[in-house]
Amino acid sequence: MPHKTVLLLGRTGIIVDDVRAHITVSDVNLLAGTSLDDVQAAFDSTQIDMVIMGAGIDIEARLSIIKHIFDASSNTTVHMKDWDSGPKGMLPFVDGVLNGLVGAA
Amino acid sequence: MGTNTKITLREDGPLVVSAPPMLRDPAGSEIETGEVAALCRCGKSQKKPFCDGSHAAAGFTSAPDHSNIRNTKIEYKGVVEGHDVTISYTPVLCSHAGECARLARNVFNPSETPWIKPENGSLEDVTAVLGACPSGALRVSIGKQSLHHLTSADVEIEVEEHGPYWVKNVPLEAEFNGVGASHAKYVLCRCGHSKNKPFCDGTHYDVKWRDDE
Repeated sequence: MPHKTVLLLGRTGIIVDDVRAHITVSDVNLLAGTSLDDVQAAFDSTQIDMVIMGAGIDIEARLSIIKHIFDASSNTTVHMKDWDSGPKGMLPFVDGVLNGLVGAA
Repeated sequence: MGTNTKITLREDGPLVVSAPPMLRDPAGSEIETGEVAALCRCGKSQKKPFCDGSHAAAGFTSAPDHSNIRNTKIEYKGVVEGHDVTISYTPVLCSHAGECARLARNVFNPSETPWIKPENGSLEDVTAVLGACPSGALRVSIGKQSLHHLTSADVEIEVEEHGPYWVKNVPLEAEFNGVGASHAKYVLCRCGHSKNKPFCDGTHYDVKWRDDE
């Protein structure tokens, strides 16, 4: 199976780095960012299969990011975490989504 | 600091400081204490930083919840002024005081990933931040050194506004939990929400806890 490319977005690099360091799914190409600028740079550089986004990013920024993604690609999926699980819920959420991705491929 | 200076933990109750060292408010002014001070750690006292007994009515429990903690470190490596530098970060110990980004955002930038880039700064930047980090979440290795904290000789407890107690060189009668935790500087939960009690794990920042709660 070819590796999927996943863009991981969080409010801070601290959260994103923590998730990158501890995810249990290994056969994905993981990119990371915290802003619309990072999203634009990622989509300009490669094909992104999936975007996983934390809820700490400002809502207007999240909406701008989603618009950019769907304007830029017709075959990218976007997965958004809930607010209440907090930063500590990010890793379980990402792991769950990625396990679903790999299992479904 | 007196020879009897220490912090003990009262189950489901306050921190008890015997022979208190310098206690500072968020503005840096000294707070007067008696020979023993009971400091609030449930977040509900109306006499902060002191305990007023509100923990009982609030149903405060002091037991940690280690099942919800990833006790690991992340290492960031770079070459700084010709030296191999490794900065180790233990998320569960971090209180989000923000001293790192305030002093050297070129190296410690939470808006970027990776959020620590040693090669973006000088050794002076790195050592200034490591010395200022109140929690002990950051350790550094320069060249062939082993990872270590940078600490001061100060003996005090500082109350961070809307945040934890910053403790320097005060013995704590508790088990330290956190990779690389320092006994010379650490932060103690004041809001009551930490999963790593008695230590702060940064949750006050996530739940937007405030002193006037």
